[in-house]
Amino acid sequence: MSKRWLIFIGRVGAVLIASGLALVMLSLIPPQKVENTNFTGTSMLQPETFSIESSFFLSQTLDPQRGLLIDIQANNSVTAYLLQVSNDYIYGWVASHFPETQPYPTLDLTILEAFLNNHPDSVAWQENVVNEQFSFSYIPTKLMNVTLLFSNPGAASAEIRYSGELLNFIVPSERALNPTKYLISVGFVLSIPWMNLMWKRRTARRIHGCQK
Amino acid sequence: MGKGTAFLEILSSSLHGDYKFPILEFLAFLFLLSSFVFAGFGGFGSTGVPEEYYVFFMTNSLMGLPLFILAMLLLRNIASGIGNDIEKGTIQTILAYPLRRRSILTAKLLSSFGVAIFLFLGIQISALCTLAPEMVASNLLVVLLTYMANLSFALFIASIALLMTLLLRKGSVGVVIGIMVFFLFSILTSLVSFWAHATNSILPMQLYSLVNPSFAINFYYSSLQPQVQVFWTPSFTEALLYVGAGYALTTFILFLSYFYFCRRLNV
Repeated sequence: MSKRWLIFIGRVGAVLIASGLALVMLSLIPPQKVENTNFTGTSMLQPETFSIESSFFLSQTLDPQRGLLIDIQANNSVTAYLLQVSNDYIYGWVASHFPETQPYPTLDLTILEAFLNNHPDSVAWQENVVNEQFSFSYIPTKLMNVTLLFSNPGAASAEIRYSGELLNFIVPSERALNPTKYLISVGFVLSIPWMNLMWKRRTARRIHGCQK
Repeated sequence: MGKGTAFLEILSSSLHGDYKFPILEFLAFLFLLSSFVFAGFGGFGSTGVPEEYYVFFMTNSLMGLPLFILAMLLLRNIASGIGNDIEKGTIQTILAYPLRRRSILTAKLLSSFGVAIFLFLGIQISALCTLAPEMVASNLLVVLLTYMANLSFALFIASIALLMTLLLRKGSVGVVIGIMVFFLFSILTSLVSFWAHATNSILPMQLYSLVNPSFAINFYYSSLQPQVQVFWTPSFTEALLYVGAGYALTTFILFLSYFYFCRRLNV
C-alpha cells in the first residue's frame, strides 16, 4: 500500500478516535435532575386489578434527552408497566371499550389484558417487582407520553409505593457506549500503520539531525 | 503520469494543506460535542403537532454555531488553498500537471468543500441517529431536507468567496467578502421579516428564500403547529422549489468560477 493511502486511512482512523473521545467525554457527564419534578404515590391493589398512576410529571412528554427515574416498592408480587401512551388515551380507550366500567382508580385486570392485546407495541418497559425496592431509569428514543401502570395478578392484595423524578441527559451513557467502543477500536486499527509511519519518520529525522 | 494519478496528487496535496494534523481530528471532536450539546426537542406536550415538526426542530437545533463554523472553514480553505496558490504563484506548478483546468479546480474543491461537508454531515447525522434513532428513521426526508436547505446558504457564501478569490487573485480579500456577505444575509433575515410585516407582503420573504432556502423551510415546518399562526405558510412543493433555486444559484456561481478559472485566469 502506498504511503498516501496509509496516511489517508490513518487520518480517517484518527477522526474516528477523536469522535469516540468526544462521546466518552459526553457520556461521563452525569444526568441532571430536573428541579421540582419529584413525584410520589401509593397504590392499594386488590387481587386481579390494575391501577393507572397519575402525576403531573409522569404526564410530561419525554424525549431522547429527558428520561424518567422511578423507585418502586411493593409488599407483594406486582407487575409494573411503562406504556408509550398518555393516561388520557388509556382512560379514553377504557371508556369506549368498557363503558360499564367506572370503579377508578383501580380496574379489572382483563381490561389491561385487552388493552395490551390491542396495543402490543405500547409497552416501553415491564418488570415484576417482588417484595423489594426496585429502581429503574427510562430514556426514550423518540418524543413520547408515558403512563405508569401497576397490575396485581396474585391472589392477595398489594401495596405499592413509588417515587421518581425527571432527568436531563446530554447523551445517555448506555446509548453512547456501543458507538464509542466501535469508533475507538476501529479508529486505532486504522491509524496504527500511519502512527508507525509518523514514528519512523520522526526517528529518522532525529537521527539525521544528530549526524549533522 | 496518468490523469487519475495527477488528480489524486493534486487532491492529496490540497488535503494536506487544508487539513494539517490535527485540524480535522479537532474539528470532528468539536462537531460531535456540539451536536449533542446543542440538540433540542422543542416544546413539551403540544397536542396535534406532527412528529415532522419536532424532527425539523431537533435537526435545526444542532446546526446554529456548527454551521457558522463550517461556513468559516470553507472560506478559510478557499483562502489558504486556491487563494494562496494564486498569490504565491504555485498555481503555475499545479497547472503544469497533465490535467484539464476544470479537473484541477474540482480536485481543489473536493478538498476544500467536499471533505468539510462530508465530516459535518456524517457527524451530525450520526449524532441524530444515536440520540433519536426512531425519529430519524421515520423522518429521514425531513432531516435531509433541513440539511440541504441550510447547507445551500453556506455553499452560496463559499462559492461567492471562490469567485471573488479568482477574480481578485487574493484569497484574503475573497474571504473578507465572504464574511461580509454572510454577515449581511444574517442581518437580512430579521430585516426581511420586518419589511414583510410592515408592507403586509410575503414577496420579500420569497425573494430572500431564493438565496437562503432554510428561511422558507423554517416557515413551512413552523406552520405545521396548529396553535401557531405564521405570517407565511409556503406549501411543501414551494419550500422544495426554494431549496432547488438556492442550489441552482450556487451552481451558477460555481459555473462562473469554473469558466473564469478555465478560460480567463492568466497566471
